Amino acid sequence: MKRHRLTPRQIGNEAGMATMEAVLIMILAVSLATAFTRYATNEGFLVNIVEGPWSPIRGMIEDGVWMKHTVSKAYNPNHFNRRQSRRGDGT
Amino acid sequence: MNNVSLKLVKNPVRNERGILTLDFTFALLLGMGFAMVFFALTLTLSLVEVTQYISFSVARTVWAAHESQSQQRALGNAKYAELVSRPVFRTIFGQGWFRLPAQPNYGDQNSGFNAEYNPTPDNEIFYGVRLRIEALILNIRLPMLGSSKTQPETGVANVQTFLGREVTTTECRELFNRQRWTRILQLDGIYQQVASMMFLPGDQAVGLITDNGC
Repeated sequence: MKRHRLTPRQIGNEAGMATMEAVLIMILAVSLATAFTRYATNEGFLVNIVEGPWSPIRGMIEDGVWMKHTVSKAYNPNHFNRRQSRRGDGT
Repeated sequence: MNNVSLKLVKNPVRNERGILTLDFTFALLLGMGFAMVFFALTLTLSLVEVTQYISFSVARTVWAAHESQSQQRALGNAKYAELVSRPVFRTIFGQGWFRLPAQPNYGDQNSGFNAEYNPTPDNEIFYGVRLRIEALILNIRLPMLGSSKTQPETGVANVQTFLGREVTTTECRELFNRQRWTRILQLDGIYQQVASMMFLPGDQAVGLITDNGC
């Protein structure tokens, strides 16, 4: 069987090098995009923007104080002691 | 074909013309995503203000005196229907981005959402109107950035106005004038004779002195 031996000229051929590098760069880019997507989803980028401040905003909407809506009810002006009273002064 | 284009055709690997398109697409995706989120947030806050005005307007309508409490509320319902059916509001609320209740929720001394505020005899007299707004527009799912909402209560708020309520004519007549008239008649027998001399049954006499000025 005749063995094919590479000539020095064939070994020095760099024609496919750039293509290989382009493929590797594309893999790297896709990996980075996938990692960013996973990180953004897990860390909750959008959730932090929308859901994070919603509870204090709801506290302000419902009761007029910058507090979480779960504790803001006690600070609603409806709880203030006013002069209008069924029991009169001293209550 | 100029020299540069000729070179790129001969060496397509060195062609970098698409890289800007790729960068632009990526940046546009992220930019549009964040723009959508902030648009949804600002629109939600604006519509909450509109809803606040509607609740105040309904509460103001319910506040004024009428024959009975149910009639006061009927006027409030009519005001609410009138406001939300106006073309500008109907257009905004009809997009499916926000949801408002079919009718307002009225706080009551004995039942309703006033109970959430731990009413005492001093502050339970403040009646109000509650509108539960749901911002469906805040439920966004974007590529590469994920979802904006994980809890069902996000984007939900109770917009409410506590104004109070004037005494109705019925309440004034039944709970004040009739009681006073009955007590006066019970003070002395002479008063009962006066009532009979007026040829007016007690109920009618009570009705006559009702001026909604309790």
